[in-house]
Amino acid sequence: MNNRIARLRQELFQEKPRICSERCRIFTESIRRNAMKPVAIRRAEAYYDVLDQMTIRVKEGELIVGNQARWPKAAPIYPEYSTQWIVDELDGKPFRWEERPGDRFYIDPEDEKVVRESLKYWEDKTLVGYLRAALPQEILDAWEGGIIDETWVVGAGLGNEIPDYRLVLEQGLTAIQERAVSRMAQIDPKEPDGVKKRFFLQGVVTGIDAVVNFSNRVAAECGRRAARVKDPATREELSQLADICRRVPRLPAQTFHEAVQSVYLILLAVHLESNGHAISLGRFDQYLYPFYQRDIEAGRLTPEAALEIIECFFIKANELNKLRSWPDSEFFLGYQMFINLAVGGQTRDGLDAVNPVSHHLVTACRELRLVTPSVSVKWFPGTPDAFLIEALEAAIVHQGGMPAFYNDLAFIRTLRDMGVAEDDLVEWAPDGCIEASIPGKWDFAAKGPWLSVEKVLEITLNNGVDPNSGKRYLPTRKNIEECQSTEEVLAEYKEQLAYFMDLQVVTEHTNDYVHCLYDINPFRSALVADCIERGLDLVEGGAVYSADGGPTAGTISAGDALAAIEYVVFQKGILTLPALLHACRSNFADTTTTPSGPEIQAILKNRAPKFGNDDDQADHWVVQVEEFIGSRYRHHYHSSKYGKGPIPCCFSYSQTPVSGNIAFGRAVGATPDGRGKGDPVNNGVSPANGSERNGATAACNSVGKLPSIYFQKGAIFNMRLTKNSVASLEHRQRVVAMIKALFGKYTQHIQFNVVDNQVYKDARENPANYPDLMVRVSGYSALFTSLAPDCQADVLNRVEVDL
Amino acid sequence: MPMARVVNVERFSSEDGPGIRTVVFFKGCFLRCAWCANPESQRAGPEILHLQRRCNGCRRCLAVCPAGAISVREDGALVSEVAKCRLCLACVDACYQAARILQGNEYTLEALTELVLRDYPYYATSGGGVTLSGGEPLLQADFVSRFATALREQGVGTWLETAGAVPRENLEQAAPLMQGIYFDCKHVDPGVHRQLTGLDNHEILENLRWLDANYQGFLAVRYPVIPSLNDQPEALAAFVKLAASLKRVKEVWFLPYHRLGKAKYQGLGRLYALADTQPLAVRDLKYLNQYQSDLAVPLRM
Repeated sequence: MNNRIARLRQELFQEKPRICSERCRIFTESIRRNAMKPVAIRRAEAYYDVLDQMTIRVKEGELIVGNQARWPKAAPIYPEYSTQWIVDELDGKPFRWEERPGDRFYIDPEDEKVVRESLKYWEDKTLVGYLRAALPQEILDAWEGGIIDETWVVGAGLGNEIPDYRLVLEQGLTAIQERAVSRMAQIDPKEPDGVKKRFFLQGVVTGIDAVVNFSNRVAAECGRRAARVKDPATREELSQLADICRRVPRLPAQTFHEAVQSVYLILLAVHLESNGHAISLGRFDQYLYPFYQRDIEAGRLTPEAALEIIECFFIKANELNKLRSWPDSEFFLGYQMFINLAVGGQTRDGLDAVNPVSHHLVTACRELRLVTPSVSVKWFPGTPDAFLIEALEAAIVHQGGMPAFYNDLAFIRTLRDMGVAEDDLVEWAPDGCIEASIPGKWDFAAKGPWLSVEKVLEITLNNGVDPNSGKRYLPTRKNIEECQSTEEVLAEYKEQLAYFMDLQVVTEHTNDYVHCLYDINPFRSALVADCIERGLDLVEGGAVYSADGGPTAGTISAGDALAAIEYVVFQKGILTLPALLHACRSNFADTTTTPSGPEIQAILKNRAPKFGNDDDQADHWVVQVEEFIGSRYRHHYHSSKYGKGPIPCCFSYSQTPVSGNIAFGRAVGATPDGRGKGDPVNNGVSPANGSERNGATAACNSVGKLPSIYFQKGAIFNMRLTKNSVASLEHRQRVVAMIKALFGKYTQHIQFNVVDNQVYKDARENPANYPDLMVRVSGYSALFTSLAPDCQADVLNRVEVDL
Repeated sequence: MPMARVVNVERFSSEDGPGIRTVVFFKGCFLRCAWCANPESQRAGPEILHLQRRCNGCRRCLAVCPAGAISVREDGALVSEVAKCRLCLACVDACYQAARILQGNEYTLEALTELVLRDYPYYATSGGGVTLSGGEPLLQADFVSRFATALREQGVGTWLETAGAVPRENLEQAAPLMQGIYFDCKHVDPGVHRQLTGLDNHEILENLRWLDANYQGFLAVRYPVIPSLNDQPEALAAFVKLAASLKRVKEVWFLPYHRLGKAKYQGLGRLYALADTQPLAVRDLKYLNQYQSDLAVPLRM
């Protein structure tokens, strides 16, 4: 990394996350003025006003410009989604932002005043409020009980999109706007929904105007600063940036620098519209390579200059931030924006797609060691080993599990099964953590509520009652104590899972209804086909492809629990089922039984078989639960967009719990896998903490047994490696060989944390010494010291594999 | 059909041959090297190992043992005495901490082959395979030969780690089936060898020379460097001279002493004779690179 990049990186680490009130104020004023206008139009006009009035900030030395708030890493506020928690947290309930255990934010008194004032308008108009009013009581109860959770999107904004960057680079926003205008002219307002579609398209036109105006304002600020600086080189840079921003993203990009700047402005603009996270970058190396190649051939660009531009882009991506409620933050610790970036994979001709830009991206990941973007290597059988080794070496330096590795074979199989067109298959890219999407064509629909799979098991084992609240949901058909086999327990469990999955799906349908009424975002929709053609927002069914479904947590732990019941009760006869259930209900604390509670917990932990050891005694039960959940999502449900155009409108299984395995675990009592009350459940499809005993290949084989065809929304597999196990090239070749064998089993993903425990332990004691120590949490990386203590402990407890 | 007596099957090993390997540790060895890291593999018969780091001291094992075979040692170990233990496994079943382990499970050829072939995909992508270790695998030469043949039929190569203290016919039977052999020398002098291992090395050296004359696979000789026992300059020089005299040897290894097996001595109720010897790191052996000039093949550590 050169001096400029080192300085920009250094400055980034010095910024503390803050709250910026500008967007909150401007947006509120605008909506208040236009409250009676159709939703698509009032939202687009408010978007225009925000982009027109917010402060523009350009810093000398930047080669990529544009800002989300008044300071880098400052988060704007989006009051239209929810306000109560904002007021509560400002009042210190449960924490003021600057006093949180993790993911702190700081706010100036003046900003706080502005925010509090703006929030008053929203009190009775938030999306969360509308949703809660529309949901039946049993769903609100399940939400309250931590069985499903629905705060994450409805309370904080949509996101989860890979816009069609290629289209913007090739045609410019103007061409997209022209399409919207001509589509509007074709639509007869006397036809059903014609009026509504024209409102939406009008919103698209305004939204694109807003972004073009914004890039012109950025250009103007570059020009102003250029006029003031003395250093001629800097002045030249700034005037060049002014020229670039006057041109893109309005018009097609001409150079590599224009292309990267254009991508950044689009990324920024989509963030500014709806506060989402997981607005990802798609196949960055593929759509940028033509610009790179042309510039290199023309002698306008050197590889070093290209790397510098990419590194400036990476640093700018880390300036984006999002404020989440504290309960929500616990699911997403680490200031994470989930801006995923794919490299490698294959071309439509089935050839290796790695190009010089791919190498630059891996280099930037290695040199900068940043939280964002999440660099994801797509592997297919034609990917050169040398590239995998290069990526693994970057991951070793990065320490935060980036780049992560993704399997083309598995995702293509899944997407083909979902009806994705053959030509689109190879274009898939991970969105957010890992969720497979076709860039520019996919409605991620990530509003789905979470499902705590282990919590449902606890309720099943309590005959349909949540022991925390005493609330009875669906009574079990038979008394669990009287089950004569694990199969009978499993049959009851499936009934209960089906009940709560139904609640999830009803929540999602209700959610879509509310979003269609109040949360139309024309700009982001315009960048996904076929929203303009259909005159529909993404939430209304505008996309070519769409699949719903929220993350789940704890399936592996639940399967382990069934395996333990089978082993301890029905196979070995160590305990009766009632004795085991009593031990769980008393959190293994009853010392009057024989064996005692603590002894029972030891039996369950040490003796019962566990997933992750290539032991069919455990894996069998995990697979049963996975198969049930996966096939039911895929084949039993339709989303609200079914029949409106998108394919396939099913639900999809996601095992990307982020840090939700900790947050959800807190609401779950002790379980037969030996987990104590409140302890984390397993993360993704990774074996539960401490249960891997047969080494890395055995863990891989267990994961390889899962029905990954259902895992379109991803299944995270974390592996900790010791430094020794990657010390030499020979060792790294073995890891690469392991990845390839693992992927031959159609698993989707693996990521590595390569830091010895001692380093993390020391960082916990002396955080000041480790300002940039990274760790892979789930589908993303975070700064270790920014995590709450229990999340840090969870990372430490993951089994470290010495190959 | 012979059964195998196996201590442990270790998957994803990376130090015992090329690529990703599964190492099968066979039970039984004629040598009693003072530094042996796998003491549980020395006796031929099964026995119970107590793992103190897992034990919580509840002593249920003592209560359930019908033979009164478990004794409490000063250091806290709860040792099953081989002479008294009936191998009924009552103590293993009674232990909630999984701190008592039967060492020496019997495997049929089919069962062991099925187990190691679970990692076939990793062997295929890495050029790895199976390594036989121990204990002394060649004491179960019948099984080992059938096992290696079965693996070869599946396209999986087998490597062998041996100390060579076995009848010649065992070696002749099994060696041709091995892709590679790591042959361990502990000392060149027969008298010192007897002191260190309980046996002199005539048979071992004869076997090594036989391999050098007849074996077609990859042959490497290894020498564990144990401070003050076999690291004197003359002892090292004698080993290097021996290695240099062998025509088919492709690699010469020095292995630094480690004492990772210490807890297992405790758990078997056996004395660890080298309690005061400090472990070595590879960097401590750098000085041995001087011997490279005497060798025509790579010297590794």
